[in-house]
Amino acid sequence: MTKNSNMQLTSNVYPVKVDGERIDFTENEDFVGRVWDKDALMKLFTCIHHVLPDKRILEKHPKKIPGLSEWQSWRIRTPEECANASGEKPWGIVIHGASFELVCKCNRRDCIHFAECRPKMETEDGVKK
Amino acid sequence: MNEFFGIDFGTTNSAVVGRLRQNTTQYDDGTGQPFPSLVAISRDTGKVQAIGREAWNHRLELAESCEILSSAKMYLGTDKVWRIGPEAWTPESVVTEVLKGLRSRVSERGSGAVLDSAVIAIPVGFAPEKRRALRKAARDAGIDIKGFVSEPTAAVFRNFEKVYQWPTVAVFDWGGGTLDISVVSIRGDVIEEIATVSNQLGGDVLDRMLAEWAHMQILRKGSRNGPPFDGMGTIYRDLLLSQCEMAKRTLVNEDLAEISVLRYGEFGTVNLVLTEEKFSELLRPKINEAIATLEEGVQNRARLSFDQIGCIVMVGGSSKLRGLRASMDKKGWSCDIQFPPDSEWHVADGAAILSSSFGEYISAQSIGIRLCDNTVYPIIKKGEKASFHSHVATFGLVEDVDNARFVFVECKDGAGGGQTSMDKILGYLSVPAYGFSNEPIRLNSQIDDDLLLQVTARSQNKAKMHELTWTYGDVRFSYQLPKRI
Repeated sequence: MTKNSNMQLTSNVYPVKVDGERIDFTENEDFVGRVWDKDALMKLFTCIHHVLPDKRILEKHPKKIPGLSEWQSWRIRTPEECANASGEKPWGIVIHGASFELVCKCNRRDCIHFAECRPKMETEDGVKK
Repeated sequence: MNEFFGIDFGTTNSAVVGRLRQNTTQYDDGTGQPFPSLVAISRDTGKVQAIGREAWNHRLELAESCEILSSAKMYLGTDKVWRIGPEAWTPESVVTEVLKGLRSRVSERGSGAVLDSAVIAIPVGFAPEKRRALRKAARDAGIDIKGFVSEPTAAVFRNFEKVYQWPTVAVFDWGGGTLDISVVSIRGDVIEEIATVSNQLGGDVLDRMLAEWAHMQILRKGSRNGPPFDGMGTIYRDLLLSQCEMAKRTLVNEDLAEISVLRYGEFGTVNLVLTEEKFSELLRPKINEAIATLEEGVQNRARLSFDQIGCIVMVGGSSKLRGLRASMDKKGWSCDIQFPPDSEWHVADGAAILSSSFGEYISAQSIGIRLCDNTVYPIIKKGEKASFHSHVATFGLVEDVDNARFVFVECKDGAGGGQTSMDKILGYLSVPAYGFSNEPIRLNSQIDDDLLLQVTARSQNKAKMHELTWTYGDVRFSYQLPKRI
């Protein structure tokens, strides 16, 4: 049985509005909302706040960093690699149409943080109960 | 006042037609036929010795001292080089000589007309690099290309008065190099190719088939072993091929044709008679293949039945074959099948009509960029006029990488834009970038005179030398007729 590829190639760009010769990316909300890459978000943070995103600054905004969305704020703040599973990066973004969601897809049930990371596991689609 | 010219630049033959008001002039080569796309170049000097009919008529003698170049059209846009004597000949320079030959045909008539500009008909899917090379070759021959038109669309123009009442028409264009099928819709004054299919089964394939048969008869007559057809010298192969081509033409109207060669290598003088019956029997498999190609175009590509086709227009020299007409009649299709008597001139004449009053190309598809969030940003919309298409947009990178990637897709919905894209990928463009947050990537798209979609992109933080272009030559266009047709 042959199966189609389950991947889709996309561009890594998004249009920005130009006001004459002036372009301020941070004022392009649609564009800012599409930036997903952690390194790109760190640079974007600096553009918006004119400071580097160090721990002290990030702690000032525990939930949502002004100018960024919740998931972008979370992404800047959170180490990508799981502290309890070396080499694993179980947290990521799931795309729903034009919106994104940050989810954990870890399957290490013996981890002490499992219930905390995947509180809805029992009701999630495609996960064996 | 100068005439308006149309050129059908073919693989084996080229035709030029001039139009002035209601007068049409077919610039034949003195035999009533189009001009053979043939150039003989001296092996000693590397200079042109003969072109067109003269080269064709004296192939045997010329072959002793010359390289005879045919089918240069097939190599246009490639790196092919013929090193002959002290000269290096490119496909472009060979084509220039053929076009100069056409130009001479026009001036030799003495009517005062000068072939200095023309619309040129090109095959469906003629690659961008081939179009550019053809434009340059024409310029070198002193001909300015006013525009390109696809060969089937040109054939529809030529026969417009006979076909305009049908909403859907098929064009069967069987030339020397290829067989091209196009299914064309006609809505008011707008013509659109809705499906095309091409087969390398040109008239030269039929000539070779006949030559191989003739060679086999020669071997049998001699009652001895001899080299196979491919083992014969180039001169003798060409000679037998040209005799077979003449026999093929003869059998369009006659029941018998002679194949005579004075010196066919070690076989000496050979004489064969080919009957129409034998000819039809030999060619039947190829005729069936040609009809299968037509069925592929109508039924599989256009997804239509033959009942939905109003008319089939048969053009190109090979569509005159008697066996073809009989085989098509047997199919029992209800559509009208038209075999115009001078079909080898129809494509050039259609191009000449366009030359006299150019209409407007309109995009028949929407093309856009599949963005990072899987939506589509349209760059050209269905219904947009090609001559007005110019689009500039600025993009930003959503990841920290050293290149900006653009994925170009065809939008099925028509208008394009906004919706999630599950559309067909047409191409890619990746331009260097620094990966800064505030790094504008400027994109510019337009349709050039060769009907190529050119999309250039560059990071504004990078020098001009980093600008890159994606060229797409398969944009589907419909054609809005000029008012007077």
